[in-house]
Amino acid sequence: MNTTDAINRNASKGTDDVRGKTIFFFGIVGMLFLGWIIFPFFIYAPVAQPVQFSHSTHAGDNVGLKCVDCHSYDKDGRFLGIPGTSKCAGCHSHTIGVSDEEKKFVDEYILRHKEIRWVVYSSQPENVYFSHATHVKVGKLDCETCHFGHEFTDKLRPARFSRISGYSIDVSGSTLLDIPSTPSTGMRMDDCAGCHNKRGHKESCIDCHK
Amino acid sequence: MANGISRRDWMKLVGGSAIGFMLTPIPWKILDESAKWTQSPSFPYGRQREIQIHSNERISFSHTTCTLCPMACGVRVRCASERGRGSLEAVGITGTKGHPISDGSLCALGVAAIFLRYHPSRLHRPVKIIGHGKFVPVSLDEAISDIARAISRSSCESVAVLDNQPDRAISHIYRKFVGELKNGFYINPPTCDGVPTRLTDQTLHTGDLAFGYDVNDARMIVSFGTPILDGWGTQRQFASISEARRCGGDKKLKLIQVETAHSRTAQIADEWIPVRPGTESAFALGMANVMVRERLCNIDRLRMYSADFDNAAGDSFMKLIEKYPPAYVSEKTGIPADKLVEVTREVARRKPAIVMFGGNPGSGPFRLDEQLAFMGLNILLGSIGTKGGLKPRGKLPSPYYGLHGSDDSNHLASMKQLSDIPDGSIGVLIMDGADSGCAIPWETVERKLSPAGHTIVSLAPYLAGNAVHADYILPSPAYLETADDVPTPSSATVASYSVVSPIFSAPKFSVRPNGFINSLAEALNIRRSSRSDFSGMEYILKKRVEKLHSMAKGNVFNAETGRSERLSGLSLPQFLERLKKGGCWIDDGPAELPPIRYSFLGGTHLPRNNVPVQGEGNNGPRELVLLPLGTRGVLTAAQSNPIMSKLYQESGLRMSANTVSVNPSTGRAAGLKDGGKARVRTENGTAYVMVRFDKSVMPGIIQASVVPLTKSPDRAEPKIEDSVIDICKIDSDSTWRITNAMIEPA
Repeated sequence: MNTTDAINRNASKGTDDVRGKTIFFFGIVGMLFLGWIIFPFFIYAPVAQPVQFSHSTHAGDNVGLKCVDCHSYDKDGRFLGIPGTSKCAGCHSHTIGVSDEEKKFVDEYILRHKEIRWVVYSSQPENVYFSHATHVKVGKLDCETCHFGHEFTDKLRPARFSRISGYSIDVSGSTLLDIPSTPSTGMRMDDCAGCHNKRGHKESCIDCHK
Repeated sequence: MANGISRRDWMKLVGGSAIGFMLTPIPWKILDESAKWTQSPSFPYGRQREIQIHSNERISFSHTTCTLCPMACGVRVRCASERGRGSLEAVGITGTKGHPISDGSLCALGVAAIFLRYHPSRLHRPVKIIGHGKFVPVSLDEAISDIARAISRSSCESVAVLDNQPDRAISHIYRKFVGELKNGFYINPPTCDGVPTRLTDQTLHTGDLAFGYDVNDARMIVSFGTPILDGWGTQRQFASISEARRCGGDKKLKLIQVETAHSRTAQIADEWIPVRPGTESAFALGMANVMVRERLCNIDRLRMYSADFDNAAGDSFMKLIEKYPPAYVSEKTGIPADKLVEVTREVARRKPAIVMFGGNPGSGPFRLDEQLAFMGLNILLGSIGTKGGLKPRGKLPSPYYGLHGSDDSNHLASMKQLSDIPDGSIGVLIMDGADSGCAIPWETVERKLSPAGHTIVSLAPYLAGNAVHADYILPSPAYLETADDVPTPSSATVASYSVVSPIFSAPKFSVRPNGFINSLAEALNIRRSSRSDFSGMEYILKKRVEKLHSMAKGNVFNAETGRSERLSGLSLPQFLERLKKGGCWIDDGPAELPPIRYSFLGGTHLPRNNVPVQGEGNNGPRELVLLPLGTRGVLTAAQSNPIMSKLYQESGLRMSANTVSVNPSTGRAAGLKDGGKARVRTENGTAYVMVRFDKSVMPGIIQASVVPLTKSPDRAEPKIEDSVIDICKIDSDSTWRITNAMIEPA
């Protein structure tokens, strides 16, 4: 009897050990799932663009526009950014395609002479300046160097802003855990400095901080 | 319990989750994002995103005038504020476009000047220094009481105010205060920018009429050691000179740099004349010799308008320059005689020509007798009062003129130079907090202090620079926090005036200089009728603006519109408003030159038989000449900002503090290694330096960089070693250009 009890106790203990380890392991795995899979959706709030624009349609073979046809430079060299709706109206004074987005765009903006309040993906703090003109004209960078693949997109992805700091994921970088801090895919100071250093523009604080 | 969830199971789940939690980005990302949030100007009331996007009403711009050096550049400060609370943070500084002095340009110091408010050595309350770098807080009343006692005690010694940026409204308050004292001195340090008024008075007899360099219209500039292309004047002047050098045809400007050191200006000048150390004036007299001998100047006219140009009796300029024929000058300066003649002919042919002689901010101004030689050359060239030469500028009204219905400016103390003050005579020294832009070796000040005991008061916002020698530091508001005015830069040919309004609030316990003077006057029982004049900077500034307005001439630049208007078309409130918002008054043109007579020898009949040629008294092969070099505005730790640290400490673009350049042959002869450490010894002390071999440095020269020390200006750190500027030999006239030195491996 005593022997049987001992065996049962040992078996029960063995089972408890396995179960305890499983629970412990489950805690780790559950938290890893929460942290790496769920948390990124929680920390960043998506904000959709007011109009869905297809770069692939405009830059593709059918239309064949180049980047600078719309994102042009002023006479004094300034980058004009996203064109105003008056420029779009050159072709879209009325609906010329079949998509719902174009119809919405023409009805709500072109016909009403209204500008689109695009959500900015890359707003920097107020003490930081970024000049497209400098990078393209002086630095001789192609648009694709930074915006690679942009011309093949059919939709504008939503901007994702941190619920805490308010910075866009395009600024802070999509890498969630960046220890030690290394240049990644964002627009943080390390990212700018990394590219500048690689291209021989070291110690260039006032290039960005004005 | 076997089938249920036990407490132990929960504990294991929590333990596993805790470990898993630390392996996720959750804590680190939240920490990172929270840190960014706290850096937002709106923290803790809002979120950064609100500042970033569609936040126009939260970003504002304020225009003002830079006070970091006397150049008076217009600045536009970009401020972020949090809605509805009014607290501002500066997030950027740029130049004011169209500003008549700077036209949108700023120097590297000005661009990052917002950081000066957060300088690591900044003091936020009055302190009493009790040892090297050690201090205790003190109340303002206690400090004033101690200082007043020291002034009362110093009946034999004098009380002096050292003002680094003269002719401001506060300068007039200092002069008024010192003028009320029995033994008061108002002192200005040497400047390297303009033409010393004392020199023009001695040579042209023009009294206190100030002259500037008309570099914009010159076709030839002969610069004796002035860093014209490296920090002299404004960035706009630099651009204008560079443009004039590039253009073709008649207007092309040629720059000849006469200087021992291979400075940045020497590197990019059209021609560098590397004279031996201390022989610049000999070269100038050699040029004068050639001009007179070859009749390249109007000798008859000079004879008519000058008593000491050529006379039968006594000393004359002709007799002096006879002793400097090209062969003799060549022997002294090391420049071939042919070259001297060639340069002189070209300078005389290529008019308008101007001779500039401010000297380097690190090595200080030339001696008066040397300056007379350069001025003589300007007179020979016919550059006085002419286009492209030295032009007189109008005088700004004193705020005390007619303040009480009479000319109170008569009671102002006269302006003195450090060299005018007898050694060991100052019992109480009050040092203003502004920066002159040029180096002031402490020994030039220290030798004037009474050996029987003295009290030094600094009004600097930082425990840095010469403020570390003070007994009391009463920190004045820092850059962008103070009400001030900016008079005409000393190198300008046209008078100008700007008012500086505070953009940010100063710390609670900071001390406004006019308030300090007012309290001190009260403690000293200085006559009550004048006491009110020491207070109320706004009032004093307004009185000065009123006087300027009554002159009804010149233009007023409106910083907000970028346009200029005639002063005569503006009412006084409008004029004041324009100035308060970063505007600038600028005169119609240079002042009218009164009939003048030239005194080549300065009316003092200086013993000019031989202009001293320094650096010749070397006792052995190891004794060399120490040449300190610096850039205006960044000579003390007080004005260092992150860009300065990048330039001087991290990038190697500029030589960092206590770094010397020597010719490889000189270095090897002294047993030095490139990149090695060395000791530089002079009769004043020893400095430990880093050595750099540079073929462009003249053999026998130790070219030293005068910049803030690389180490942190840590207030608790005692001073353990001298910098190069501390070991320079100070001459009796408070100059320190040339010092014999020895260098050896450390």
